[in-house]
Amino acid sequence: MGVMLDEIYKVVTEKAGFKGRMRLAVRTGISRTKAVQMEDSAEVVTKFKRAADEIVGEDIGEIFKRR
Amino acid sequence: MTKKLLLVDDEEFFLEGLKDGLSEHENIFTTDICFSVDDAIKLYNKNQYDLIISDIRMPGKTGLDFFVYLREKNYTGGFIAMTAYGSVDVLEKIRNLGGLDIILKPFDFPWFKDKILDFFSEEEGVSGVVDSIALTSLLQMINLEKKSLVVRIEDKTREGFLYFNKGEIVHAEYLELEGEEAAFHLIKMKKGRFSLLKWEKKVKKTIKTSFMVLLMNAMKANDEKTRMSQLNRKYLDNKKKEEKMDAKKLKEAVDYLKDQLGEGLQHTAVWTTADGQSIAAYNPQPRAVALFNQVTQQLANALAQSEDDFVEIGRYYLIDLVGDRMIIVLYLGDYQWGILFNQKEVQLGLLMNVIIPKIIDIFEEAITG
Repeated sequence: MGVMLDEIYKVVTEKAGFKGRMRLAVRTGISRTKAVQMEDSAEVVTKFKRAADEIVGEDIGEIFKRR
Repeated sequence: MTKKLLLVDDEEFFLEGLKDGLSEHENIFTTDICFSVDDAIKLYNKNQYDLIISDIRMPGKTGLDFFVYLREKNYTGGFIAMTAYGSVDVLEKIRNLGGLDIILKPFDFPWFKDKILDFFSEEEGVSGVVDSIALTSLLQMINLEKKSLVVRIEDKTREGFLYFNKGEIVHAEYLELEGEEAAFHLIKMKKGRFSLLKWEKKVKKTIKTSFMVLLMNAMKANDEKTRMSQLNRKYLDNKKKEEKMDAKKLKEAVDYLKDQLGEGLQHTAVWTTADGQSIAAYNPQPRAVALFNQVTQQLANALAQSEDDFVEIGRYYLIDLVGDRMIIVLYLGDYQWGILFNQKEVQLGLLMNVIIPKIIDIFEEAITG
């Protein structure tokens, strides 16, 4: 449940601190607590990825690959 | 692209010397010189100048005539006046408030050269003939030239008059007001048109305060008004943010922290980064909030300016204080959360790894509604 979204939250916090994490929450309207309870639907993951790319300033898909 | 500078003064030898000295910077700007306002107008119509520096008192047409001409032609570059009269301190104060930039003669050439280079290195000049400063600049020119004339200032529905006698305002009329109060309102006007008229009627002297004092007070009032409206806007923005915030959740986060740290918690507050206003707190200490908001700002600036790869504050910063105290500030962007606690009574590992992640989760729910 919400594994991918949780991972995105972790990467954003790691790369952009709490400030980035708060921006992700505000931009998506979904807190981490809610995100981990949701299904990783393609639509929501895309929405999160797009916001995260912008906040972190790089493609977070690439960051996942490097981990 | 190379910039263009025009120097206007009736002292030919003086201008030739300046031009010669400035020629070493021709890769940045080129300099044209002329010895009368009539010639300056001719040159102005053939060239596009980025900066014009003109003497005020010249035979024939004066610096004021040239300034009014430039204003009518909607010149948008920089304008600096030169004069041998005035107090450096007063002119500097007025310039800082957005008034006319004036160079007092005589001056050191290296200083003059640096002033021009500084002007061209800035994106926008230190002064320009734009609506907001043109009136005060014009009034300063009238004062420096010790002119006797009437300035009519009008906007869409109202008009007023400033009566100058030998450069000093002796009378003013604006709506039902007259004297200093009318002058104050007119000098403060940011929009509107003005024209220069001859004295046509006798007026009684209603103003005794010197022009410089009147000008300074009016400009300070404008400056204060701008500052207040910026603060007001900031306040309303924060109000909007607070309205969006789920207050119940926010309280839940603070209560959770309080419960977990017990007696070890000395103070905690969540505040807005924009103005350091606390939006939730336990044992409120507004001065500490203001102080740490400033500390965060300075730390963030120092990191941003560092040539090393530090760049930004991550999740928090922590300061070990005397008296077994420690403060941790969670940097949340638009908000910050400070926690002051007694190190002997709080397990740092538990705070960092369990309690803070939990309060961040709750805070996040508060901001997402």
